[in-house]
Amino acid sequence: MPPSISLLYRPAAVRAKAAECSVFSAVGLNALYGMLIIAAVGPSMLQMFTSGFVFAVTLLFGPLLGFIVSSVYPRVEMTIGKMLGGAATLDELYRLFAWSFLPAGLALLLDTMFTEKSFIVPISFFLLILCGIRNYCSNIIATQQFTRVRGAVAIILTLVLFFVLLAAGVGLITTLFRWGMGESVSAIVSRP
Amino acid sequence: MTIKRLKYAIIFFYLALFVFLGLYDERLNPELAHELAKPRPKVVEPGNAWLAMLGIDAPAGTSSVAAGEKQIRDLDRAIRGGKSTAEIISASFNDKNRLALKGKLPSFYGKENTGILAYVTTHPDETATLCRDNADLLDRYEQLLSLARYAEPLAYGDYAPVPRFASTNQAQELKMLRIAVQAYHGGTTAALTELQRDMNYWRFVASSSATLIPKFIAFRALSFDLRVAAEIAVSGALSKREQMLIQEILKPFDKGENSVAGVLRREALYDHYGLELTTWNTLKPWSPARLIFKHNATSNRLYAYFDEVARLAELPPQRYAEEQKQKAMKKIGLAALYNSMGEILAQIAIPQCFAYIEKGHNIEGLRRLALLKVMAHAENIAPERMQAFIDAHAADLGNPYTGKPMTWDPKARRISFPKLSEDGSVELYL
Repeated sequence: MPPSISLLYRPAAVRAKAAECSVFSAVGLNALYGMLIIAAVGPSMLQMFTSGFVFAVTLLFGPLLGFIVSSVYPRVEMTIGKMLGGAATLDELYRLFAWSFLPAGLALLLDTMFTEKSFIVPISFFLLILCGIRNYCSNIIATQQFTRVRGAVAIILTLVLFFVLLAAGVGLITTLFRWGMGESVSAIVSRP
Repeated sequence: MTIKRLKYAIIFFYLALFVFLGLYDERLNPELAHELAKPRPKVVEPGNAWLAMLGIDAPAGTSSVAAGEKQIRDLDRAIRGGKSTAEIISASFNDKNRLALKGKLPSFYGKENTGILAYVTTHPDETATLCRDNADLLDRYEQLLSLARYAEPLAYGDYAPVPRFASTNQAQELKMLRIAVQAYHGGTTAALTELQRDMNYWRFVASSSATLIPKFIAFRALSFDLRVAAEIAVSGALSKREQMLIQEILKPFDKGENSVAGVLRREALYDHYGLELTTWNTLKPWSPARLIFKHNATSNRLYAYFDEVARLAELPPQRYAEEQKQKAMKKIGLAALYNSMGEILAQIAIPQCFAYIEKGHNIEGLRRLALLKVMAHAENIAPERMQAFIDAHAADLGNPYTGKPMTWDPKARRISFPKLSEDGSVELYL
């Protein structure tokens, strides 16, 4: 089996690859994932936006999405991990985040490429996503040197805290928008 | 390059990108700037029919023009005094002791083919009661018809009060009842003279309207006039003078009267003024909305969209019908990178333009139906010869969208043509 295929389903191979490759490749992968996420919703955006706009957003803001998520999530993971006695460094967690989700990136690529979807594409999509999640969970447990139970707790706590931070960020921006708008819009709308 | 340098380079790139996108705004379209620089007609001037419509349901004992004038002055004072939006809106809103219609007006010319002449013939007491109980409203409507100026307060944008056109519509119906009574009692010449006066007023409002709503109110009123004229014209033999009056009432609309192109362009100015007063001047300086909601870019887009629709509205109905089929929905482009809120607002602010453009063509079609009805009666066209008669008039009085003859339904004794974008048809019973 070619070594690259083993990256899809063998967490140990992923750990080795992440340690072997430079951190620049992890940066590149995260940027690519961000672009693929936006590209996956691109077809639905084309109903309202031109292809030029969708392309520009994918190219400019896709990498940014990847950078933000890949910067925040490993940091949260490290914070929770340290509280639970973990041994992983930020650099290790960052690289693992990029390489573990390679199957998920491939799933997004398939979703973008194949607009005519037979039953094979959604099944492959689902399996690849599962592989990515499994790779990541397994590598976190191994790198943090956790037991399975402690590892599961760390992963769940990280996920919850990440979404809490995301919700707080969205809430802050929404509040700033509302305060900044003043009473003009609601007053016009509620006019008898 | 070290990872640290790459990190700083990425941060710097995105900071520079966001600063550029956040601060960049387009130059205002020179055509739009030229339109905005034109002096707006004064609203508070003697004889402004729009003011009279604004105050048509003012409390009994007050002048409708004076009431409308007061509302505008109160609004102006509130805006200049820097009041809050809620205070500004309530300054121009007067809900106290409004003059309401007494009784219930029947509905005419619907699916049941209930004509107004038929109603006054069979319901003389109800007609007299309605006219007597609503004498104030009728008097105000008569005063309205005598006014020779029309100017809407475009510069107030969304703050401008909207007249309660329902009262104006009800007043017109009362007037039509009076005209029908006149015609029924043999005063056809006087009735048609009054009808022509009403028609001329609403043609004047249609051609002078600055925004869509008053234009459509004018179309509704004109539609009523056309149907009443056709009904009176076929109720008996007409004298030469009466025939001339009918021809004058049913004369073709000029472009200013039934085209919505002008009001569509002015709607862009109305939206611009509205944004100026309600949003640009009230958005806090630090608001994140300023980064994605740009003044000039939004105004430019609104103006461009309305202008494009206005060009479509200027086409003759048959060419419009062909072009309308090919029109694809406009998509939002690269400008959304620096003006996402404005681009989406401009997209959704454009009204259901096809249906609005077609209102103008439909009123022309109704005029043709009315003329066909009158001519068929004058020439004593029997029902079995009606189709041939309609076919012979396809060129001048045919379906405005296709140029083909109108549709004749011998069972229902009805001529009609199908609407273009909406369901249903414009119909007239013989």
